[in-house]
Amino acid sequence: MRLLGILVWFLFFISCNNSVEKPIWVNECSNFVFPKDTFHFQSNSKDWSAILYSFTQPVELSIEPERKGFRVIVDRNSGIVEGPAHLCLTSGKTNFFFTVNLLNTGDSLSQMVDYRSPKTVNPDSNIQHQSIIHKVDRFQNLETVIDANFFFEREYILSPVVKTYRAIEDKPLTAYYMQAGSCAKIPISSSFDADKGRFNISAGILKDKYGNNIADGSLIRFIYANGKNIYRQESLVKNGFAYAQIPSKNQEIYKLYAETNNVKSGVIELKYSTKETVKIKNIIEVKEERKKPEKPLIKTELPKTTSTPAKVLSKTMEIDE
Amino acid sequence: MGRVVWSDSLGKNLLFIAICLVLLTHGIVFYFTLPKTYDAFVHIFFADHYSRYWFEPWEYRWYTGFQTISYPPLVHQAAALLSKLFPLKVAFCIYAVFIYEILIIGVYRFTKIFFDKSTAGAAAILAAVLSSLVETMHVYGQVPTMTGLAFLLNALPFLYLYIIKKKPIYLIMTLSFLSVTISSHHVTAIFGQVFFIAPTIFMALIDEQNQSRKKRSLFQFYWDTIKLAFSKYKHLILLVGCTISLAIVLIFPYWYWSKTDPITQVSIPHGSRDSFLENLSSGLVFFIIPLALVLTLLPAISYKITSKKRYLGWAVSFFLCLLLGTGGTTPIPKMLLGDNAFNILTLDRFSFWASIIAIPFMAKFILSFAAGSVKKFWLERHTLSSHFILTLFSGLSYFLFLIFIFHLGSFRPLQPKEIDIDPILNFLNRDEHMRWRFLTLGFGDQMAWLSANSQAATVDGNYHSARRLPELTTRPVERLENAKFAGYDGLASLKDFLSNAEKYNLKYVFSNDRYYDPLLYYNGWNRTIRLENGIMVWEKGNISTIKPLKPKPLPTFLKYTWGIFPMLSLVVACSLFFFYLVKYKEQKYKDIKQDKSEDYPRFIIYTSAYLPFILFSGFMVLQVYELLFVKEQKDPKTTVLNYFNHLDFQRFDKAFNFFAHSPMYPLDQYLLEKSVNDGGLLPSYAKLDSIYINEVSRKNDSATLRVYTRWNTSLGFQEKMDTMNLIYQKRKWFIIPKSIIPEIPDEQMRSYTFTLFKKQGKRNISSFPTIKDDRVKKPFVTFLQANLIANGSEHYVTGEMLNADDIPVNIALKLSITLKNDSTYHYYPETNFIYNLAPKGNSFFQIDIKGLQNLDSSKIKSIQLYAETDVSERGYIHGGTLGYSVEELNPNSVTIQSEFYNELATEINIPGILVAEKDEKGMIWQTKLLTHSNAVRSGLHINFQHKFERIGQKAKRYSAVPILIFVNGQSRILPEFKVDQNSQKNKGISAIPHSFISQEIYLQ
Repeated sequence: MRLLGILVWFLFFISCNNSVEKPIWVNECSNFVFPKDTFHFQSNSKDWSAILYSFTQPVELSIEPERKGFRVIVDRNSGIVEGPAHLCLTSGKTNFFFTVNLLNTGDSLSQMVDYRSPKTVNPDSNIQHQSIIHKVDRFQNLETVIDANFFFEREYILSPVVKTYRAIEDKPLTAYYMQAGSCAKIPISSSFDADKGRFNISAGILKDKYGNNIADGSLIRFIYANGKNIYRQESLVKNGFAYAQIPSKNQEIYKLYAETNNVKSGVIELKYSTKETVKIKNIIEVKEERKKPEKPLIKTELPKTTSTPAKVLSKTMEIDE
Repeated sequence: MGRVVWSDSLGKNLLFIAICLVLLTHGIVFYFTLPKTYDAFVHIFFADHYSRYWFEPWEYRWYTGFQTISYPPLVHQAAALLSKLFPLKVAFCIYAVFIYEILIIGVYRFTKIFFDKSTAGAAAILAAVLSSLVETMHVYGQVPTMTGLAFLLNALPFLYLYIIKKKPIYLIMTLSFLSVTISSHHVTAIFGQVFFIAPTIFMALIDEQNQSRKKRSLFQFYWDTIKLAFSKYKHLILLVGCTISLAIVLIFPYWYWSKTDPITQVSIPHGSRDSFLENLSSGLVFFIIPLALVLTLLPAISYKITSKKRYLGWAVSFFLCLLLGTGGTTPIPKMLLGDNAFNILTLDRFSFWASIIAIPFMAKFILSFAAGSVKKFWLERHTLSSHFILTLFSGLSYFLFLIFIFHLGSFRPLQPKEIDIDPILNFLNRDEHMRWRFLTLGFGDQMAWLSANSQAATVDGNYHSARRLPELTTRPVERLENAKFAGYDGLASLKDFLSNAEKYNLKYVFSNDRYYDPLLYYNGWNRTIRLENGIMVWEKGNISTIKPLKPKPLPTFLKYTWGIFPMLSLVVACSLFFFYLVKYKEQKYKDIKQDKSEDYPRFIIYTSAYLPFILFSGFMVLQVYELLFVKEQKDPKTTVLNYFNHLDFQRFDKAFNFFAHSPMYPLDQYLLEKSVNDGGLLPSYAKLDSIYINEVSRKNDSATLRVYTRWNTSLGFQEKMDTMNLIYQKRKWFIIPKSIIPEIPDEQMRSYTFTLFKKQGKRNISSFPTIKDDRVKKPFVTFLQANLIANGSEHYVTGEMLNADDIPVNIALKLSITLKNDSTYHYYPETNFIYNLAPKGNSFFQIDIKGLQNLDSSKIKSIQLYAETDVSERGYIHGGTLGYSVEELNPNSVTIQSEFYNELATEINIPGILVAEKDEKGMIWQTKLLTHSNAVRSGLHINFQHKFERIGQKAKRYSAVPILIFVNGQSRILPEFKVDQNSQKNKGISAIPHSFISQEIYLQ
């Protein structure tokens, strides 16, 4: 029984942890000032570590022991995104949290940021563009622009020319995109390749209503029939053209048209021929007219500021598409 | 006196040999057999849980979360503790071998309450090589069962002594060992009371009766025993009361869970409940292997166990276990257990317990045959050499049988080949893939090993008692992972998860079995990458990340009792045992009435001597015969059956041997023809389900057979009919290979221009959340139509969608129906939709409304159709040139004749078409996916036809119920119907290609 007693006591003692008391913040203040600051804590426990949890990222702080406790040192080369944060002091498996407010000192070189929405513009729906212009310091803190407002807004009518534009010349991250619209009409032509015994069909140049070539990879369906079966061959557009090759079987005659996005071409007839190459022109004429690239109706000029390069924030006020 | 000393010494020496034998055999082998066991990885997963969260029973990684209090924790916690010193798998092996050693000691001590120490030593050696224990450890990996049994057997001698001597120390020791049993395996603890504890008490009472040596009638004897039992009521009540209290207290959270969250799931079929006469392989695994030695020594066991009154309880236990172990072979087990228990329990554990009860009696006969009275009897009548040969051959063939069990996983693959999980872990760890759930397919029990090594969560799991998801509990499916083995229900359950992936945040599937490829593809999953270990990763677009789930509440004190009491029971049992050895251990169990008689009747000696030799040698001869001498081509039917068997397991070289030999048809030619003509849904993605052969004609040397095969594919069962001609040559039947006239395209080289897309984004290299500038916009899609259709009792929403954007799109389509009683139901399109569309590509769709009885428009409050889009890099090539024509069979039925021309530069593995039946306005009545069983190679044509039932004449459209449509959360308006002239020309049928291309994963 004595042995059992010893065992129970042994288990009791090994299951007990030394409790860690909450350290006392000697020079307690609500603000943590970056890049340099020091805070003193009084504690009997040792082996402390400190992490500052801001709402964007954790920051590891250094600790130095003192006679009756330790000090937490903020020592960084840069500032931080200001706002509420939690200081977490850890000893062993015990954590203590202190609510703090983060501030930067020193000059913050401000710059203007131009954010565009939508990033991708489809001329089928709208070529209007929204620009939100705001000001941030070099640590990404939002600053007021005009009359205590944090941003001002502009709208542009864009050029419908397919292209990748940039809101700020040297910033790829500020790029926005003008896509091609839907195909306006489908000119098709065919030829018979007697050597290979097949019809070569081409649809193109496929353009949208602004004269842009429709997007690469767009699906074009070539529908053809021989009186018995209806066939469907699919092809993807490249550089404004889509092609199909139809093997000629038993000298059959096919009637063919192409379609995409509810737009159909005229119908052409595919006839077997012993001649080497016979070209059949589409009954719809192809108008080779390409609109000149339009300039933006409103220039995307930024208001003059003290700083030069614009930078995009991580907490932008974007309107979802 | 000299005899006793020798006997004691021999017994201990044999025990020592048994302990060494276990260490040298099981200790070495278990690490290698563990990956092929059924359950070891599940227990390792639980051990991993406790190593991470000792006091938190909520395990989020399986089934969207479950409580680990659903299984007694001792084994898992012990392995978790060891895993702090060793790798998890090694820790589990060390624990298992340690438990086997305790079991050996338990068998030794258990046998001592029957016979002398020599027999106990022999029993210990027997336990080291007993087929049931070998199978439990190396085939099933059921270490908790072994733990429960090991401590139960060790408790029995103390229990016996407590009844005889009434000393409290024996009660304490009994209870301490039973505590470990309770904490490690609840089923052993419950049934152990019936099959082990009750006979021990009964034997002790009988032995106490025997001490009086009065001559009484049998009835009088048992009546006196019952009276004696009543006279000891205080001791018995104390024992029973303490045992029940311990059972309640030690694993109270388990009982709490059973009561508050009862198991209400459809019974999962188990081979141990089969009729072993009908299903021989179940009989082999669940009855013959565990009871191999018991069955061969059954005459000797039966004789001995019924020879004395003190064994009566054991005889009842043994024969009852033996009977229950026969599963569904006879109706008796079901009658005894009742329907409910019969369908929940795995009955092989009864065979297992029968084999354990039989150990002392087998050891008694074997020792007697090797060096006791039976040997003396034999030598008086026969020669020493005959005794030696019989012993040698019986022993040798048994050991060969044992090796067969060790390698059962190799002879009859129980699990897929071992998978290197590191590439999967790397995949889960990178790019925050762990924020979604995953599913494994074709991993076997290794899925538990993957889970044990990752913190990622899966919708599946490997402990079916803990499942609570209705999609799993309403069907007799053990795991989604091996759905193909669960027939229709398995695939239906898997389909529910694959189509309803958003509900479970299921984004990734790791597939180790291409059988599932068609199902995944046609349910809108895309192949992302093939990992270094050959595992294909499938991904579903538009799935949101896992939302924090609140665990089921459990009082904190229960969490602490769960974390402390079970391990404390082990610590206390071990401490008390050493305490007992030092303080109370007696040299001899003076009061145990050991049976020293060795007399067996002549019939028993001969049958028990010859049976092991005959059966084990016979089994080995049968194995060799099957390997070398089975005539696979003895008649036309057998030839065709074996040919299909080899073909099904992809043993093409063996299948080739069934063809008539000809210098013009070498193996090369066969494989070449196969590579050119084979491939597709049946040859590549199917498993032969059943075969029926009809002999059309038969002559002396030729035969014609019609072969009807039924193939299990992930898209459903498919049937096929072949005609085969055979000839008889050199006393064997051979199949005449069919001559093949392949289609030869004109071109030698084929080119096809693909436009490939890459979603490169502009991501900064940072593990912090990306800024919105990085995000690619959601592509635009348009609903062209959406209709609520009623066809008899069936309801569905049909329609058509178009990708209006300039980039490929992946669409997640969801139908929500809110009834007037405010209940809302969600449905998905399953296989009746093309989920990935090229720019300006379109697809029909049909979403079935299931499970709503007597639905009509008056009950529906609103219907919403949601489309969420995501950029897709692939999946926009759906097949070659489709030509089709339609023939009307009757007003409600047509035949669609399809002609596929593959103009692509890659093989189309499963040519398929998505068919829509339209009315004259272009409104879609129904949509259906139709696939063809064979592949079409590049530049070639293939023709196939399908019968299609039209519903336009009988179905109706509910136009009174408007369907509200939303694209990426924004409301949209449906356009007017547009007449489809092509469908008008084809009796209302419109078709678009929807094929599966397996080779070029950048296309799909």
